Amino acid sequence: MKPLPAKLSGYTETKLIDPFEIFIGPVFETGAKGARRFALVVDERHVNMRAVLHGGMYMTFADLALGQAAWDACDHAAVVTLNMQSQFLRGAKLGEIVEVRPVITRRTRSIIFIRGDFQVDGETVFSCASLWKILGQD
Amino acid sequence: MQKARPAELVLGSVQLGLAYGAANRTGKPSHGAALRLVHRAADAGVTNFDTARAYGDSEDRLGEALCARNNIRTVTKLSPLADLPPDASRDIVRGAVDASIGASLTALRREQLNCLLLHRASHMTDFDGAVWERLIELLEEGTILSLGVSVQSPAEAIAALDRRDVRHIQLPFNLLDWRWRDAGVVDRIRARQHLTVHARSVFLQGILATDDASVWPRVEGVDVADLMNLLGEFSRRFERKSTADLCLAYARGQDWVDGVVVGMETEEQLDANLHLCARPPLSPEDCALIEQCVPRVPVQLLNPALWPTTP
Amino acid sequence: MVNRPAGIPEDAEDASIGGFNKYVGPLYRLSDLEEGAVKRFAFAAAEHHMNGAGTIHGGMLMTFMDVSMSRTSRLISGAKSCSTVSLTCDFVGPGKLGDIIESRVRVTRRTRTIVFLTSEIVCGSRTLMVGSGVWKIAVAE
Repeated sequence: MKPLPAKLSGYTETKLIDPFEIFIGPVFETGAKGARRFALVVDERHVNMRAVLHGGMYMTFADLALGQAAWDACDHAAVVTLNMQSQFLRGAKLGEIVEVRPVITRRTRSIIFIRGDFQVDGETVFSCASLWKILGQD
Repeated sequence: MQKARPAELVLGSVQLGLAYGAANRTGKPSHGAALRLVHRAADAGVTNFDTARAYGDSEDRLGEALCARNNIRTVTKLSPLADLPPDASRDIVRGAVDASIGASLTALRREQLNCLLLHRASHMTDFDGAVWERLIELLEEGTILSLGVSVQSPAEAIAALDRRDVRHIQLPFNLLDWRWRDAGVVDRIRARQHLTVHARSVFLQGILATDDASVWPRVEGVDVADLMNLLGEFSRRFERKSTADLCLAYARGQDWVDGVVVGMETEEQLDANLHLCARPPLSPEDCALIEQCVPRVPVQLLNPALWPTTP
Repeated sequence: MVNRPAGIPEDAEDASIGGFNKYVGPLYRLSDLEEGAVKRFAFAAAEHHMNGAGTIHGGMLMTFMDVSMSRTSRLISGAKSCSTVSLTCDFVGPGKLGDIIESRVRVTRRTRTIVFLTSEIVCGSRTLMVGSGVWKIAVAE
């Protein structure tokens, strides 16, 4: 594994299980369960023809990070994405680090609302609001 | 600075005292009709009313209708002092300020003014600072409860925001108006404590709320049909009743705006606006989407003072 | 003729020439429907597209929707480049390994600089995901 960039000191590599996530990963995390921050280092596989982070990769990272937060929030019960609304502010460049701290905005017995502002050096580049269903809670 | 609730409707009363506005076709209402309108607004829960010394009969009509009510906040403005020569003596200037304040107090039937704004932002420094100095004295003695400025441009807003004694700003703002964010005015407002912000002209003198493209001024670089098409799509997408609804919902959705001043002269308009303001405002995401998609229109469109006069 | 995965027509155009598209692809463009009003794209779900539960990962479906809308925006406008402003996706049902996944894209409105689109992601007659997007297109001066 490549050494972590200096900016990611304090981060560890997230344990990924989904083949697609492993395919586009790694992803890094820091912080306690329920308050985890996630980070992605933009590399050659992730960018579009203009060398900025592809929209699909933004959304995949969001699905991953927000999904991890959903999982934390319901004691690791199985969760599925129902809906994701994404807003693209600027493309992250090759080598930049995109970070997010997912926030649970509301929850009911079977639904969790999570949003995240994704930032490069404190500037929000992408934001996402999502709904997750906790399986087995009907 | 987090707001507890979306911006409220402020009754703008220039049309109650004068004939005004590009899309205004009805004309100044009669005395009785004006009083009924104001009563109806207050009954419906409107607590903020905007007027000015320069708005003809407006202060008097508001005063008559509202004097017996509690829990009403009237924002009025200093006379534009158009008759004062630039070299007027300090005493003359102070006298003119006192005359304007006195007339406002009488018309509004009050002992104190809730909020007094400069109608011309330049009065903050004009006449060697004499106007503002007198207003501060009136603030300190309790004749005026809060001071502020009605501005036309980001530069005026920034100058006003630099003054700690400014507690209220009124500015023109609509969903095409990129200037305030661009100039850092919004950031400064958010950083400020004890500040009330009212947005006026959210329909840009009515042109954003109309289906009639011919009402738009002919400004170079503005594709009116394209803009109306875009606004129509956003109205549909966000399930708003009309572009008027969209414009109000956008302004009310701004976390840095406390009130939206809308001028009206009929009860039908009041009812329509009350109805629209009872609906949820646009979310921050929806506002951000609009800001990303609208073209950067020329300043000449955003400032009605620069609109070409009709041929 | 280049090989296409089973289920993808032989004459399908490769729509994933480089970058992330190519990495997660290949993604293909199929023939239009409704006299060009519907643009179609497809991919075959492979191992690397899956999640831990044996269904196609949501991120891959969203990526596919993004690519198909992006391509559609350029096709209908002739613009050299375009960028996603916003994309909303509703997940309806799962896709499986080996499924041929199709995106059907419609333009609902366009202005000089903005394109509004909707898309349905299907496998045969089953709907997997529906979405709507807003794209900014670079217009030639």
